[in-house]
Amino acid sequence: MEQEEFDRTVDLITPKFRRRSGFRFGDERKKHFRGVWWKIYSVAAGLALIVTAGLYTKASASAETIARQSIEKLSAANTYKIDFVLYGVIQDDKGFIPVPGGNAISGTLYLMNDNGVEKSCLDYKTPDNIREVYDGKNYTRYKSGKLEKKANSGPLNLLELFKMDSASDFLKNCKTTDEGDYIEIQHCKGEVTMYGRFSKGSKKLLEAFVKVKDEMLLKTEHIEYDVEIPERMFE
Amino acid sequence: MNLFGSYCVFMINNRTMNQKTLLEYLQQEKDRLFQYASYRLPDTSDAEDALQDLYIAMTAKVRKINHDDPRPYMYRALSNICTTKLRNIKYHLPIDGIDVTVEAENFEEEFRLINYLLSRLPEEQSEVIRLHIHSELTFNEISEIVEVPVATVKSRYRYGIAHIREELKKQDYFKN
Repeated sequence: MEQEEFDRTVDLITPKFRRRSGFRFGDERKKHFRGVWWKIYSVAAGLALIVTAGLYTKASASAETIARQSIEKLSAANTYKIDFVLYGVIQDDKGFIPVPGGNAISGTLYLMNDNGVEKSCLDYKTPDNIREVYDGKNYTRYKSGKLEKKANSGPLNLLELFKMDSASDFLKNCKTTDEGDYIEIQHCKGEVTMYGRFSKGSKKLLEAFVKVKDEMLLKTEHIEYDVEIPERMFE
Repeated sequence: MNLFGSYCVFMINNRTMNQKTLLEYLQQEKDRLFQYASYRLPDTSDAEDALQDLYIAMTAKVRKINHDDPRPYMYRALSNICTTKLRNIKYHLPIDGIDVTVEAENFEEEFRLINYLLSRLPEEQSEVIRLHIHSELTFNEISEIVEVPVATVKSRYRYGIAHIREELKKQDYFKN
């Protein structure tokens, strides 16, 4: 009897139904994010630095002139909108960690200089529509349109990164290529390669990416300056 | 200024034969790993996410893993990943209302039933049961994964089943 009950117990907890999955290790996969404590603001800071980094070159006088003019244009802008794709993994105790070749998460950074007050909004294209807002005094996080967290916080100070002197140390040893209508620059440090491509005509940064040993970490999909951004984005 | 100095975690070193071998190991174990994860986590996408996290984590530490047999590390890491995910998903198993005498008719009902019964056990017992029954690992293999003697593994398995049996008796399961 005892053995029979033992066997029946084992049988009860032995699965009869199986989940099916087409999952394969090594395939790129967008993750489902659930209730993760987001800490991506530091990556957004990196994104802004990429934008700044893309504007420096040492190769030729014309390229330097274009770069200087582009920086002036960038620095003078009051609003920025950057669509980006970031690669990484979720570590539940740390939030989203950038990892080259990791899962892709796309989003948009909105940045505004509101009479000297920096305001930023990060919209992540996740199933639960995470949004992070820094209005200069508070940090607010929304999930699926609902307020999830609010805390005292200063701004991200992304606008500070557009200043020339803050990028100068980082932008040594750039390789610049004149590509007709475009100027392309590469900055390599160790295994990290940063690339920026900007238009000679408009003197605007068109795209940028960061790779770590040939693995994509971060790339921009669209960059705009001085765009109309509704105030309610930062509420 | 190093852009990634303070927050960028560089995990992939280079594509070597070791990483390729690791991928092959993972692919070989994929079905058993998936079964383990799918009986820990509420839905298929969560289980697949856990496997993806496992892949990333193991790739990051490929040089530290025993390439003769990476499975102990594999299952330990997957177990930790699942535990962390469950904590953050805030998935609450129903404590009441599971009638063990009613036969499960689909995966979800079976999932609830099995996890309800396993939740009654100390974690070391439920873990051995999951590895043996869900992932179909031998006691010797489980011994390497949980890093205890085989006799201890067998003992945990036996006591775990005995605990569940007592739970089933309370609901008159064996009277049918």
